[in-house]
Amino acid sequence: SRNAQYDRHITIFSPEGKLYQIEYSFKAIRLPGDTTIGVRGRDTVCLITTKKVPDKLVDPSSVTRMYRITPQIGCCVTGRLPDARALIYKSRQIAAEFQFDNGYQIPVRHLANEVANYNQLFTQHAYKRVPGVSLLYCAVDDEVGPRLYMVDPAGSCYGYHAVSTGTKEQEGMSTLEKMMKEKREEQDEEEKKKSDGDDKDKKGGKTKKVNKLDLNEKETVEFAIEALQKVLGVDFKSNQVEVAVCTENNAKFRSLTMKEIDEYLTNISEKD
Amino acid sequence: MSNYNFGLTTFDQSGKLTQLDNSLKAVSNGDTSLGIRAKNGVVIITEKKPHSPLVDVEDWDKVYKISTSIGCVYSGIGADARLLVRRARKQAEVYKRGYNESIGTNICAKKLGGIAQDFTQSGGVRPFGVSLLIAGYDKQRGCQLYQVDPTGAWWCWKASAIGKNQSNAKQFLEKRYNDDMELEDAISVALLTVKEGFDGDVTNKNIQVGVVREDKKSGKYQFDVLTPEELQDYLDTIN
Repeated sequence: SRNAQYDRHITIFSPEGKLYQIEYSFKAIRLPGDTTIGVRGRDTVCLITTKKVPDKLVDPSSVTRMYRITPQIGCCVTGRLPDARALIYKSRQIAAEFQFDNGYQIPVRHLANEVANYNQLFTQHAYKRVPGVSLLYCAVDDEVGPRLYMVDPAGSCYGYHAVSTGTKEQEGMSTLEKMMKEKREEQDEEEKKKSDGDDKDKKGGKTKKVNKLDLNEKETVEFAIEALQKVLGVDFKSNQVEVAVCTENNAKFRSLTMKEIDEYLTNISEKD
Repeated sequence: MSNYNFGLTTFDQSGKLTQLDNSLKAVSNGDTSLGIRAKNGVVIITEKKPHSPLVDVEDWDKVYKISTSIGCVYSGIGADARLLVRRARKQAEVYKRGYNESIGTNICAKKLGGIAQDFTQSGGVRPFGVSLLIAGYDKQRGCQLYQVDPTGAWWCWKASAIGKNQSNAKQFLEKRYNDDMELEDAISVALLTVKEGFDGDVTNKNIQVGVVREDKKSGKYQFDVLTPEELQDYLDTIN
């Protein structure tokens, strides 16, 4: 039928039940060459992303992919930047209307889901294409603590302990899984040493095996920076990345200054 | 806004609506869900298979409550399911305001079927890529289980499965189902059915269960999502 040729051009189903436009949009996210990593610790969420200033004449302080949606909720975008700006505008609108209608700050989980629902519209209506952006939302929620959500062009929204997106997404995910496993083994070892063989509270050592990363602020940021270093395979300087955090002590989403990033990089290189 | 005044789901020469066939294919690519109706309740289960071990599985809800006594699970594209659930919740509330009575499960299924059908005939849209299993209680018909498809068709089931493993699961259910089942039996059978086709071990974290059951305190039927603790108790029973 006529439609068979269009399943790659607009979001209608292919014979295998796939939506090709959505798959293509994931490729569009990888195109600009940026990679972003998000990590959630005990009381902190950290986002780190690559920063490439396109030209020497460009003012580097104007180049950023970190946006504040509310003072507490931050978002890092990866992919097509013009599409990203439209979604940031929409996120801010959703957050502001929520605040106005309900009288309190929108929880980050709800915001992420609303933006995901907004993305879903473009996967079902032919007149607008799907945005080629993935968004990482982070906040320290006053009810549930630190949270990290990723919204993609398919309209999916998942909460993560750690996530990577962009050009090196797959390498990032496997690196993060590996690092998490190692960190948990490290922490299990430390717990064993502390309790010194006291088996009463252990139940075979399986009680406290949670999937979470029990890291404080400093450890979370270091984890994120180390992950990005491993993924990119190079040591980067503080002007080649952007780092942003939300912590329990200071729930406001803030970008780290170059000086702070330098301190972390120095600490990490001294560890080796 | 939209220049697409023509439908994208159109008939081919043999009379088929290819987009609908394709959308059903999208449903059968999704994670398995199933439901069983018992004498005194309904149970619906869905698999929660994250695409990465980094996903916070505990924060991920795949069982949705539509009204106090109606809930649903889905197979297929999650984003489409969220949209349908949102519409269902609105319809349930609008019905309540209009008739001063909770919406019946069959009416809810009918309305969702109508919404799904809209998207198979309107301009510039594709059909939904998701089937829903709706479990609910209403005074007229008691406990019921309905399935709504992307085609807009809906059925009442005694027991059914949708998604990747639907044919094996349905075979299993046919063998194990009987009309006199109690809710507790139904939950066990449902868990066993999921276990049959599951890749790996079933834990209280990689599945989610919703039940329609009589609340002990109020005596009314309501839809609940089982807590991980309750679910673990049921899993321990069948192991």
